[in-house]
Amino acid sequence: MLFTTVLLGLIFALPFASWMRRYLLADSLQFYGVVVLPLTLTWLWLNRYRLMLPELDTLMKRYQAGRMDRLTSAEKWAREEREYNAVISLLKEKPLPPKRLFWPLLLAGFFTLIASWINDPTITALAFVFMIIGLVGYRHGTQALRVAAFPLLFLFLLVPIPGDLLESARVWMTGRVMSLLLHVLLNLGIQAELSLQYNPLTILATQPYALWASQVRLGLAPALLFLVCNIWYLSLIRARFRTKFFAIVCGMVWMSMLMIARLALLAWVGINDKDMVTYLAPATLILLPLIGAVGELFVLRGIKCQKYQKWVSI
Amino acid sequence: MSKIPKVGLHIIALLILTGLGSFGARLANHWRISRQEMVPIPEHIDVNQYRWMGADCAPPVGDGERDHPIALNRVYQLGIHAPVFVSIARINTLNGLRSPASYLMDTDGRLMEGNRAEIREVGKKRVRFVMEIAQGHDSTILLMHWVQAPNQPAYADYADIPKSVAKALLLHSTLYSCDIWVPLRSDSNGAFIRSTLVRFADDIEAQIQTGHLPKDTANLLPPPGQLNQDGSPVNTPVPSPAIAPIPAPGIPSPLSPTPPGSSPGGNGSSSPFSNSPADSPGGSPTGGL
Repeated sequence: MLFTTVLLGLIFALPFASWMRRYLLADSLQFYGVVVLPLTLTWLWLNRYRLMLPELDTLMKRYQAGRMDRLTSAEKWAREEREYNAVISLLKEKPLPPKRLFWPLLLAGFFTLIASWINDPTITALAFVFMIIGLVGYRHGTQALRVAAFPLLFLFLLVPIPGDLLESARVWMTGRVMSLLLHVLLNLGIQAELSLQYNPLTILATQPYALWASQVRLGLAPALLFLVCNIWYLSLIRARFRTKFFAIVCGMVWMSMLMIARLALLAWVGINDKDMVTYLAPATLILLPLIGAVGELFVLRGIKCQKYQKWVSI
Repeated sequence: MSKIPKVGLHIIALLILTGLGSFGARLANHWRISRQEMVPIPEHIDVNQYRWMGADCAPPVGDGERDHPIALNRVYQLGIHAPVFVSIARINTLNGLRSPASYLMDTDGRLMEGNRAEIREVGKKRVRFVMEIAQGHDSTILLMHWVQAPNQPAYADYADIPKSVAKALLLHSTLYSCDIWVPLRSDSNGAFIRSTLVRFADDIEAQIQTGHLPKDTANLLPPPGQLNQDGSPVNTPVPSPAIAPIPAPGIPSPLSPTPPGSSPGGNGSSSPFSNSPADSPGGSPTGGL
């Protein structure tokens, strides 16, 4: 394991630096890329016991087949707990050898060679993810791939998105946020207009103040960081998919409200004291994901979505 | 030997092979890129009777947006005129093909809609250069952009040369992304700037295509003894005052939108840029705009 990790590190150390450069570009939407690897490793650590027993799902399914149909959800829950313990005892027997996949690993190795030659950050990051998937598939088998589906898919967030695509997304999101901000300001009685279609937003006052998107930082990067962390956290929570989806939507709405409130505050301050905005903008930007996280915790508490998965060991 | 160590050995062997192969591929890549010669940009460029003196300068503000390519960055100056910046970068990654506004300007930078002119060669469909106005939160520039492979003509859009682009990205053959830009000021003389940029573009295109400057450049050079300290010729004519200056940001630009289906630029009289005879710098391979 250690040797494999060192070898992977040697192969992908240089490309990793180029990915980081992309994440840390000024006002980059992909700032969340910085936390993807630590979050994935943390997820693996928290679910280490589950990953050690990848056959558990199959055994549980076989054991429960045809027995759970007519039970209420509470009965199912209680039964599942008992049977879960029974399955664990079954696992003391020698497990069947995992079904290993060699071809994906071989293809990933070949793709890594090509990626090293092309040396484009997007392609090298894809090669890294494919290599990890290939390694898991060969070392631990198909069942392990299924169990580790979330962290493996989560790793795709590492892949630096080509600049033009990211730019299109940024322009679209900036346009939406700016027009929303304009409506809020007009409703608050502050006269403003959008120049050059969507950016800057000019506050019409005695001394007009132009609110440029990247000067004040709209907060799109922290919002996406919050979204990624939210998805990661919810993957550890024991709840139905629709409940989690609802929690994510609530989180996004809450974050949008915070962003707009922050920008409205900056616009109001900017009319009176432009210099103050230069101090206030970065300070409030740091607070944005923190306040967002606190609000999201209240949402999760409200919808009773706080219990961790069985295998999560904190 | 048990099954698991065997699997482990397979993995380690494959990773070692991949690692060695990747290292080799990187070395080959480095060697291939280092073999690409950067086109020499002239020390000075002469536009009519003006001599613009060049000096090395820092890369554009958003160079990271295109993955910090190997590039030749230069600034040309002439007296009190706004400096002309030139950047010739080698395209080796997908981001090297990005729109110039994304790396020439700050993060608010973008191309202004309706301020685009395509410059074609007389009687040909190929668009050689594209001239646009880009605006960021602290500056506005007039830029010219094109891509060009050595010994090949210039193309404004990389989509017109898919083979060269594929070769540059996959085989690391040489392909340049060229930009020339001038920061616009409220007192900028639009026609003078436009004709200067076109002349720069002509010269640099010729340099990349043939390896030397156009022949007619020499005829335009004033005698060496008659240059001012700033490089401008003595008693040089002042640009025609009849030409409308490019206005400050926010004011409608004289660069009117390109009518659909028309062939602006080149020698065509339909060009929105060809509003005055003074726009035409003499001796340009295109005959000027």
